[in-house]
Amino acid sequence: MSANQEIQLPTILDEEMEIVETTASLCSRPNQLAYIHRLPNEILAFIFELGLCSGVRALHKYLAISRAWRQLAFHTPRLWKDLCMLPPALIATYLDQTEHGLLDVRVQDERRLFEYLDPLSPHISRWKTCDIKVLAGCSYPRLFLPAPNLKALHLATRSEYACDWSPSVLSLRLFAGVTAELSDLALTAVFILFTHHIYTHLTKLRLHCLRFSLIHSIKGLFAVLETSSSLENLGLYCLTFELTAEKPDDVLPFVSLPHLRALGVEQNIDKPQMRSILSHLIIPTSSHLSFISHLGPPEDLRTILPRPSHTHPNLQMLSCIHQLAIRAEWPPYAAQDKCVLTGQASESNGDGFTIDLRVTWGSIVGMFSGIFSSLGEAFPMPHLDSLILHECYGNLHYALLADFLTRHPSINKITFAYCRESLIYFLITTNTGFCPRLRILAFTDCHLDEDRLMEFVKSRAEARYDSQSVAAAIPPLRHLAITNCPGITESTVAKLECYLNVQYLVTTHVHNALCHY
Amino acid sequence: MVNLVTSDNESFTVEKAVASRSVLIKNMLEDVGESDQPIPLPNVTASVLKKVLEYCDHHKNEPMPTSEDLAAEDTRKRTTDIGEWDQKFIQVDQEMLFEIILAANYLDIKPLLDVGCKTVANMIKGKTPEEIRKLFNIVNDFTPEEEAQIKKENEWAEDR
Repeated sequence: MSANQEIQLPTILDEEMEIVETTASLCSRPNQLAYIHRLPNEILAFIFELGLCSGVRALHKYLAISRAWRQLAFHTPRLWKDLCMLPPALIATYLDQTEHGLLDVRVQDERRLFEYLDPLSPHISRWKTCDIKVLAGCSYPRLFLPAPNLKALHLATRSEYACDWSPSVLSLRLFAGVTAELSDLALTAVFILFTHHIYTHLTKLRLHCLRFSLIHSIKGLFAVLETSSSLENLGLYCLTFELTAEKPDDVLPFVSLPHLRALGVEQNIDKPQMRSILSHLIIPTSSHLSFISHLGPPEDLRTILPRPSHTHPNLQMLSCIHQLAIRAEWPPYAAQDKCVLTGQASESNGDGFTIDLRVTWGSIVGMFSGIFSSLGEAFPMPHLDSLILHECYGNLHYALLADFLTRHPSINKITFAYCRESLIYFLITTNTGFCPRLRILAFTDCHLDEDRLMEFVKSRAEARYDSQSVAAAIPPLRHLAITNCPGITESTVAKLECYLNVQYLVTTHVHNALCHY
Repeated sequence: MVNLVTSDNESFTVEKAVASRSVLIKNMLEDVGESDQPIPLPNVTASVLKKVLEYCDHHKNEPMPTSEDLAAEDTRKRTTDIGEWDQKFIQVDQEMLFEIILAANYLDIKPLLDVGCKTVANMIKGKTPEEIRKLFNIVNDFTPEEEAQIKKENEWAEDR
């Protein structure tokens, strides 16, 4: 190459670069004239977001249209919520393009976690939420950096459970103990020592699939609860216990959680241990309760719920139940008998509490009997005034139900939904002690017999006197609500109206759809 | 009745219930009280306002979305489903479509803005980048290096 040629080469390269840039500039001008580019960026970003409902591939498409679209997509964080549906290389580009802004990190494929942690961990200080599945036994050093902005952490493994004697190897140095903003923690089959900083300042704590064999660990959990005065949501799911010497009842303190809004519990085995733990928690009467329990004979509600205590009012809302709904179901495919109890403060009655008890059983009818006979004993209901019975092919046991009603004479409103005619008439005609204070009776989707209903209404529509005390008048039945009940016509309603107020409604909904609700 | 004046100086007299589908106009009416003064809409032409009012008239008896509705919409998974009448209404050429979106944005008519944006999102759906460029008259202005990077990103997506 001659000296002259050497001098000319940079000049040619410069010129070539200039041509490339000019060409790119000219090419982009028609883009400014396209109708779609009249839209402001926030509207175009909204259109991108709408397009994402068809899948994350749409995002790749936006990035591949033009420079303007690519820039806009990169600078619209709403489009990047599910980072790990994207290629790691693209994530790295995105993170570089957006220097600030908090990130939601979600990786549900633990085999690819390392691949994603590479680009994501240098930005760990930007993590706002982290929902990842990890491999049990791996240490993940990339998670040992401080996460000062992390608000929610959900860690899970696919293991059946984690043992308290073998804390997760990643746990000790997790986020270097710096998670000052963390308020929501969920651990599934991952055990992190309760002395870890991660448990401070929580408002939401959910522990799943933990095996406790050391009483020290349970004490540690209680120490965490004692210091979590602002805890609003507590979930204890599928905890098992292998304690040999000490029992929780003997060693645990009573812990008050004054701000708790929801308590969720799922029990498979070791129910007495769990019940013992619950009996040491004092929670507000307004807290929402949710219990799921798999029961077998001779277990019943007393097995899962702590006994009411005057000295330490554990689940004190159970003593102020005003409304009880019982839903009996019988799915023939049910692998296990299941009892689901949910409760919440009544909206209409500030002091009242409403309980919804859903009982599903496969083959063991005895379990169901146990639940019924323990109703009212596991949690006495002196203020119960409303009962909803939802049968839904569930075959409620007549005699048990009648006995329950006799034990709760305070009920003044009863609703039958999808109940068999024979059950209804057994209760209201055969059983003379049926709800003596009944004022409101409602039927929804029940087959009714006009004559028998009329007979009952006549017998209860006038004030009666208690046989025990002649002076005490028992109020009459005042209201009858009938919704979608074959056997009752408008002419029946006219006759009933001579005795009480009747609300009659026929809708066109599909019966079966509601049955399976 | 309310008198609206467009950017090309055309007047439209419409029922208050129709005009009030626009949060902008509703707030203006509330601010000025009972008045015969025309409301100027300098960002909307007559042809576009005619279309917008057609939409407002059809939906005049529906409840206005509340701030709670809008907040809930943010957290719900969005869909691009559009009602039957709205689909027919929005069958217009591209220029008009984008003008309607701009007018809905300016006049603050969220349901109409949604219909317009969903329509564009549906137009994009199922198309390749090249088809999208052609549809909206967009020129591919990526450099060869950027093209190579994009190709690499898309290969990953196709493997999934």
